[in-house]
Amino acid sequence: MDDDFAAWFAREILAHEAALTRYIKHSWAARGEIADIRQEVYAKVLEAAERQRPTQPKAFLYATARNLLIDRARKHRVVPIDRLQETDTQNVLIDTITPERNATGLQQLLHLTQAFEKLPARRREVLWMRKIEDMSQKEIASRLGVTEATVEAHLIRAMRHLTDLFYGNEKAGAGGELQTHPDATEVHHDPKLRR
Amino acid sequence: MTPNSEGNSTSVSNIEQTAAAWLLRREAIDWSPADQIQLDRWLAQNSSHRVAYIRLQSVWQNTPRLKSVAAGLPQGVPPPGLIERTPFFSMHRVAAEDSAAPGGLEGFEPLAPIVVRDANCSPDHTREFRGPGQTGCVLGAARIRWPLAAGLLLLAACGGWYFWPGGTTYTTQVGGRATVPTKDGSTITLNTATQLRVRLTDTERHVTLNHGEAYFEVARDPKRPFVVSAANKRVIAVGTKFSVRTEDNQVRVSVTEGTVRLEEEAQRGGRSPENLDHETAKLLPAGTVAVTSATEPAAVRVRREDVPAVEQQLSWLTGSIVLARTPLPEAIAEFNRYSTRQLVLESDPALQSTVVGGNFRTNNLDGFLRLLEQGFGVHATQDGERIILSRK
Repeated sequence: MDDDFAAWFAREILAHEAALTRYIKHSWAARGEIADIRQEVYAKVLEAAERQRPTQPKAFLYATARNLLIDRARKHRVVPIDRLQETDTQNVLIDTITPERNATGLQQLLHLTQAFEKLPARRREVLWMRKIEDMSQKEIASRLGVTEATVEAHLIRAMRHLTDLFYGNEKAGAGGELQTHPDATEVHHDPKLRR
Repeated sequence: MTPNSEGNSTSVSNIEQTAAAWLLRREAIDWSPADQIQLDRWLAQNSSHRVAYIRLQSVWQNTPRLKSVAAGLPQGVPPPGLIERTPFFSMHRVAAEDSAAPGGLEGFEPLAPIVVRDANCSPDHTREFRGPGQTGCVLGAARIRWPLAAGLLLLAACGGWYFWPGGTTYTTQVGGRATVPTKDGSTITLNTATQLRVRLTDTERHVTLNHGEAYFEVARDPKRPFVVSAANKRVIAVGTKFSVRTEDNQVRVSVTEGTVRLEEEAQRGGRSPENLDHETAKLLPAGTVAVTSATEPAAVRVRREDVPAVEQQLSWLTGSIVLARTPLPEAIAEFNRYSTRQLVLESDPALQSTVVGGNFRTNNLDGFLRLLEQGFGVHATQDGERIILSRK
């Protein structure tokens, strides 16, 4: 994986996650589908950016999200199109409350610290041992008296939860649980989605 | 056609799970070129895989930086309740001018949600809220739950509405630190022993810093300037990031992003208008530190630095004190801000001129003392809440 591209994607696209999530929530009633929609938006943007990075990543991200939502709305006949349009005009407003945008090193560290603080004790503990004390999964397992598989499971949960918290995913922040997607199997994909 | 647009029954959650497992496996010592090929294949398979991988990686790869925040922690001990848990912090409900406000000191429970009870209401009205409110609030250092979106309603129901002066008061105790999102999308981080009041109106977002220090990340809203009053100064921003600190009648403004305007507080019914002197207003761009004196309004010292240097001075945001060739008296004054145990330095010229450096957690007074005793020939004597530092 190209590190430079990954860094670009994190900085220019993922940094908008909190605002993007609010935008999708505002436009889409089915709460269980929010994460799927967001993922689909990311995937579209990523595919396009791999060919050529958009010059205005933020605008491109929102345009992609809006098109995708409109397509979904047409297909599901659940959200009146005009509601999407109305949302669109609020883009600017939504986006101004994205403090992550120009986050400097210190601010990123601040967000990371805050996210880390919110992790449940066990997740914090295994993350700490692995990443700060540099212990192997095996060492952690013997220290905690659990199996290596358990340690790995904790680490995976810690990583996912921390990421959700870092990017301001409200659901994770409130419940401390990873998102589950009961509707995941019903995700619809439309190959003709507009860009 | 890209893989993503084909039918895809794998949930986001499952993809993320796999991506996380890959990231962990890649860090193991027995990671082989063959593994790398497999990973590359998995990534190439589907753009959703790449998204999940990049997203998790972007945070995961930064986690070693947490170490700097915990500088001074004894090694080998996983972080206890942690970076923001400070023994001096307690929850405290403060309601401006509300004499009926309960003291609200409760046992500190780092990860428990904070629940607001309005003393005037029946206990059944207790609720947890997700958004910042307009009335009395509770802060927790480790975790803040949003009090009182419906607090207004509660208050109105309880008859307090008409007398409410408006605004929300936030307080941190000595050694405490708290981050507060405000309704306009801004974020305020309060340092130790700080009290401020936030009032949002249609035309202005106003913060009165009664004492202490706070860092403001202001959401852009040209129609509603963000004004911070401290001592006799006003700091005005539209959308930017800066800190304001009051101490000994001085106001210190440090700007890390954008530009703020610093001006005299307009005095009502006080001096004549010409004394208010709008021309003394100063524009402070990012990387500037301005220190004013409350006694001599005209005296404002403005220092141009670069943004990283200013940010380093705001290291308290991550719970640490960064000392770089700092005279011992200054270092001690800094630690004293965060603790009820006060360090007192004997007036020994050699001690006074000692210069120290290092990176400490704000609540790691003991670590700092140990370092002084071991490396600087200092002897610490406990005297009640005071710790006297003398030469060995």
